[in-house]
Amino acid sequence: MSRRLYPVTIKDEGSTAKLLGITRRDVPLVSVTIECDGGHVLNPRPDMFGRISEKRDLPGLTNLAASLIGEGPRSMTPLEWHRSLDRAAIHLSVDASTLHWTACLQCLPEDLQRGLDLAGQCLLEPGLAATEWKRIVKSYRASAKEQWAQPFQVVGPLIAVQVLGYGHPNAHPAHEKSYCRARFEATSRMGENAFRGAQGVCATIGGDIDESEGFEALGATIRRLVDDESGPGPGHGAHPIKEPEPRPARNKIWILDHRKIDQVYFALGRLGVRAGEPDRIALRLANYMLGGGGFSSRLMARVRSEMGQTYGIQSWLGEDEMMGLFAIQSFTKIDNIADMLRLIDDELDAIRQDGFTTDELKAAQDHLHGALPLSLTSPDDILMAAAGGLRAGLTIDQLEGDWPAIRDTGLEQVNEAAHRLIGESGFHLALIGPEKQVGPQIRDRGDVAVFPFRYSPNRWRD
Amino acid sequence: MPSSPSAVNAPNGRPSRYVAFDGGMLFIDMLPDPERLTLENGLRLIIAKDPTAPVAATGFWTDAGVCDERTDRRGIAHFIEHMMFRGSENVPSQEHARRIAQLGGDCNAFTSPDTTVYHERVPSESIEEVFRLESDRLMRLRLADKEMQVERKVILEELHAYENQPATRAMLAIQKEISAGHPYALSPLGRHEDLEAMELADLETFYRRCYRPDRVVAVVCGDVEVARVADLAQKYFGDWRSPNERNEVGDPPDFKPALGRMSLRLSMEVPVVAQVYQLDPLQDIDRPALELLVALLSSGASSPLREELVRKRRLCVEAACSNMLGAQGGLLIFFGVFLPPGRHARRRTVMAEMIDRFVEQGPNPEQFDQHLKQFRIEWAKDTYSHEDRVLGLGNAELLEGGFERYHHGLEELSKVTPPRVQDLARRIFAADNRLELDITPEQSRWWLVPIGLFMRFLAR
Repeated sequence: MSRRLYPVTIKDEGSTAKLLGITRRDVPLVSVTIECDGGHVLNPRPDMFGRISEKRDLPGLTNLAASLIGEGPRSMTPLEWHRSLDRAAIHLSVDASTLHWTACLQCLPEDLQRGLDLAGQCLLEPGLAATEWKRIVKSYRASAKEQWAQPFQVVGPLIAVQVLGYGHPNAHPAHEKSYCRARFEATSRMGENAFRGAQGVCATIGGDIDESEGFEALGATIRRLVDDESGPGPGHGAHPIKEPEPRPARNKIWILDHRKIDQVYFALGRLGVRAGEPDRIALRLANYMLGGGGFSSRLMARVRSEMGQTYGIQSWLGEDEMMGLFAIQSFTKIDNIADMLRLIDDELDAIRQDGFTTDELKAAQDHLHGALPLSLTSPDDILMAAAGGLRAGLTIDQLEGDWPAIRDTGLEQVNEAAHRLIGESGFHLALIGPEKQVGPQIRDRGDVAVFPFRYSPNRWRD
Repeated sequence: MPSSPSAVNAPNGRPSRYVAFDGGMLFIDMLPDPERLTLENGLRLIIAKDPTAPVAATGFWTDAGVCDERTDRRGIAHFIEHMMFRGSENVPSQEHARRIAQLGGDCNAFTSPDTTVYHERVPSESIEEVFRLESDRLMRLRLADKEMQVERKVILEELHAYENQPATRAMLAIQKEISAGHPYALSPLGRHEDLEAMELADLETFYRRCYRPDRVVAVVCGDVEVARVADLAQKYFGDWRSPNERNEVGDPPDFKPALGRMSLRLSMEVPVVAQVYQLDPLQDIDRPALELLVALLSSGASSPLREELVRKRRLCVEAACSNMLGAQGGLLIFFGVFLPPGRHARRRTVMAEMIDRFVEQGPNPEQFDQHLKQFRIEWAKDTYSHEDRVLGLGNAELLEGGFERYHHGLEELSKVTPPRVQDLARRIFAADNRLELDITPEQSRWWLVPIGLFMRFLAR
């Protein structure tokens, strides 16, 4: 195995920043990402006892702050800013993820320096235009209204809140009311300090540019961000953030009562893993065989291909810097929910008792071993995977080592990992459907808490 | 104004052409031309060699979509798409997907009004396996009753899932109202009653009629040798013969969308105002000019559409334009989303004024290079992705009259002149080619209107 999957060059920029780069000259495009500590974890949330003061519970604040930053620097009006970006065909976006602020820049190689200058201005001296505030809030409200009306999109947050507890950084969904409650002053304070004096910076540059030139140009921007002492520092003072203990719901079953649909959307969930776990390859293999492998997985084969009870069923394993979820998600006809859950139970029991077979493991190993290089074909793909690995505490060598490890992982390790995923204590169950018909079918599985479908997530409490 | 393209090398040595503008120059990167081969039986093969990664993406386009369905068997093209994973003469049920997965690849399929497409991505050394699997199901599909009954249940669940999402339900309703009477009005998933009534013989008839070599285009893009792929095509598809059955459905009717005015109450949470324009069929339309027209009006945060509706007048929270292009015709849709309270009419007036101004004054030539740079970025992103290139090449070959329209797309865009865009705008934005569409949420809170007006009065 001489081929390198991650041909990445890494450079330390000062004591806290890392730069990652890849040159690829055949496509005239350069992409840059600048990531630093911060993100949704900074949103005001319920206290450690789970008490929720509505005024202090603002899961959407970082989204609003990121959008405000994206309206450009102090030196320009938002209109002038967007015109200058569009004229130069420079794409610049600012986002918040669970633990990070991220700025992404994409442009033609000849526009890189101009793009970095603009990005530097915007991140260091954000204009945070009050004139745009109402418009931005309305825009988030409109999209939240639509999002929270779609059962498909509500199941994921529902099971996350049930398993991790509302307010955990991975279970703190923003909804329309949280955007309504946000105030400009608090949001602009957050935006002002997002990138100034940034800590934990991981920046990437890839594409049609010489690595050393790219590092020099990007390094100058990063130094300006890291060295800026005019702000109070990122977060600020919020890092390192202590991960809160998950607070799973008391009732194993939650139903969001939705009377206007003729299917049940559901998810089974339990505590998952963190990124960079030593048995991560065995866990990925186990997840693939159980439900993450599409038509090759056990659940899909049994529930869809053999029985035709659903269009799709899948399991997913969140590998995040903080505790994530392991969940199985699907949907079916209302009167079929009990049968379908029984089928899934049977499959899980079979795995607990007998584990997977060597044939299944061989198929999973073949797929994951072949798929990894196929997923790393563009500089952006490679840099994103490498940066994710670094954040999880892995080195590039360890990431490279994951490839042969797929083949070297034995059935015993995989079955142990499967036990870890599906456990003995059972899953939480989140359902969306008409409670009158769904409730009687699942009451023998445990205590049930019922909420109206239109409840906002901060009211999902039992 | 752009000049004609000239051949040069780009600064990094890539073979390119450039177009000089008043404000600079635009390089157009020259990828090697794909090869087109046609087998004796009529099957067309497009091969785009791209050795940048050891990957091959494939797509098999069948000229069989909703437009080829009997009116009482809606959903049959999509049903066949599902059955194509349910086994063929030499490949057991679900084995196709499993085999591709074992190679490390992935595969899927989709049905549209005009086509059904089967696509894969595999390590390039496994390309023969794709040809083996695809040829077996395209030529020798095994349709068994037991498999059909299971798959019918799966499709009905898929259809219910679409209908249970209010946003999708609303989109289907819009499609139905605008395109009434044409197959484009229907979801490729079909209708419940037709799916329930579907019999094995229906599937067999449709498959025999539509799956034939002269209605198939195969596209391969990746680290492959042209001669080897050509040999594989001959080996696996060479002895496929078209049946002599006549097309019992006939050509689909001309696409005549609803024009004039329409108000709909739909399962959406926010009101939408839209101006919809009819477009010519894909083969006939001046696509480069259309793409520039759409970009000039609606691309970027500072586009006229966004500036007018979102940024300056604050009438909408989002505004955009999308086009739906099909073999029988298409739609160009400008829309704005707003939060109640508020009236559609005011927003539509602003939208119409912006469009009228554009038609009257024509595009600003200075903005051409800005948008050509944007297109170059989009083109570069496509170049990174073998799958995107397969999609572009296949669609162009089957629906637009040749893959060249995609492959030379950037070059064609650079030849577009402001008068050409203005001329197209005049034709598309004609008053008798327009539908004014107002969408109101089903559960609209009418009482918010007087409250909103009162609040506005107070604010003044």
